[in-house]
Amino acid sequence: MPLLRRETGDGTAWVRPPFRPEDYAAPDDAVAWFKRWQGDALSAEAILADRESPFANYVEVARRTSDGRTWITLLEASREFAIEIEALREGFGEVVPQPPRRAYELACARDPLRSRPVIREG
Amino acid sequence: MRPLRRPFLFVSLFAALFSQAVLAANPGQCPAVHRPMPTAEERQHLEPHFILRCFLSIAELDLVAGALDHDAQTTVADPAFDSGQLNPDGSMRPPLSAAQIAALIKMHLVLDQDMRAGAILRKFIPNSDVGGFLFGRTVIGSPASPQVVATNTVRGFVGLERNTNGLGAGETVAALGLDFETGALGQFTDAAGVAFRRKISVEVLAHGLHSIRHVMSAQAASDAKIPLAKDLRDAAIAAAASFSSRSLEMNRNGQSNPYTGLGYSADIGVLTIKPNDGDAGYPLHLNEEDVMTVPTPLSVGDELLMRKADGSDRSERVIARYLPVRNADGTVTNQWLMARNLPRALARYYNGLFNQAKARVLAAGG
Repeated sequence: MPLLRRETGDGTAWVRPPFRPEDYAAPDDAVAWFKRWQGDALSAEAILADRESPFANYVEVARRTSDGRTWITLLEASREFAIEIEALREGFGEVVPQPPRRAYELACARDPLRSRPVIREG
Repeated sequence: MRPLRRPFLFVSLFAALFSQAVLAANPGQCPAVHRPMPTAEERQHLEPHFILRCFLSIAELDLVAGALDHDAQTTVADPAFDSGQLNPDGSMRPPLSAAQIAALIKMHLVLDQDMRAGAILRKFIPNSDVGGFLFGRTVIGSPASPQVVATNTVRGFVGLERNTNGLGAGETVAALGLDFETGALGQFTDAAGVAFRRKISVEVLAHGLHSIRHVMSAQAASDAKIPLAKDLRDAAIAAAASFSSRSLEMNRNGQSNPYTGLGYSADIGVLTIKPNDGDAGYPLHLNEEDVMTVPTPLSVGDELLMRKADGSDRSERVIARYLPVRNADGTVTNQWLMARNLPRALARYYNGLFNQAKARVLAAGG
């Protein structure tokens, strides 16, 4: 869910509307797009770090290792849905859309970092 | 005589309106200027500004050009992109005006029609990548963890060949916004000895600027999308739903980043023609840039070309062609084959790059 820009007496603020699952659900086309990079020549790390990467609007917000597999959680910076990808030496492995509630929590965790105050509604 | 004036005025007005209507409705005529509409084939080879003038007024073209160095992402809230709202010197970029946004949308509606199957693409690459392309593989990653990868795809920022037709290497570096390097010596630009100023690199002056000429498949053309910053993309989608699939939201990150967020490329203003004259910049060459959202494989007939830096000879030289080659075991693979007419010095140079790439790949276990 993109934050809304609002002019207040104290300047510009961002407004986060009340949580609705549909606002933070990863769209099918976004998931499918990540899957098209499975088996790419470049590693997942290299793809995401590339200055010409089409994934430039995704921000890494979490990383974990499980059973020798590395997983990176990416938050789409504007629409604020989240996708977890398995980082391989050959592109992306498994691509897992994250539940809306988790995406919401990850997005809210970035609120203190924003240059303007966030007004959370609801 | 007086009674005749009103009908004359009426007829004149009618004629003017009619001609406008005919002009607008006549697919053979440019709507914005009196000249024939270029065909789809001609448009692949015409300078973008010439095509745009067919559809946009001079005022609209001025708005498009004037949008450069404006902030197209005022509605982006994530802190990762805060620095993208700044100029190299740290000053804030002004937001786009409504008129600039409207003109930019119109521009992209015109130019994006030509990203189609059969479109002729260029991907400019640093000279340090040429050997890896010629060999077919290269090494990336850290020395501690090298990775051998195939170089048989086109990826990243791309543009139609027409965007840089007839430009010398320096003009091309400027038009494509390749002035992103910050080190003393770069692949495209070098430090000019003055803050916020770069000059064309010694590397390009010595060896030219290289690009891959690729003919797009229908899938690749669909996967090539216009990168737009959020404000502009939101407005574009509201104006024409096709932008939803034809564009990709990419916001600017980094105050020294030449990426514009406007869907056209340009230098960030640090590139100088003469290092001793910091204000002598390159003129804007309007274009539409795209980003490959998925890598597209090289295809038979693709060419590797080199253009010179000095501008005295704007013709390009074909260095190699991507062609099917029968291997010793009878299989056929596509490989880069060096052009036969290369002067000896150039052949030696490219063979050297090939051999260096091969040695790196073999050392990395590839």
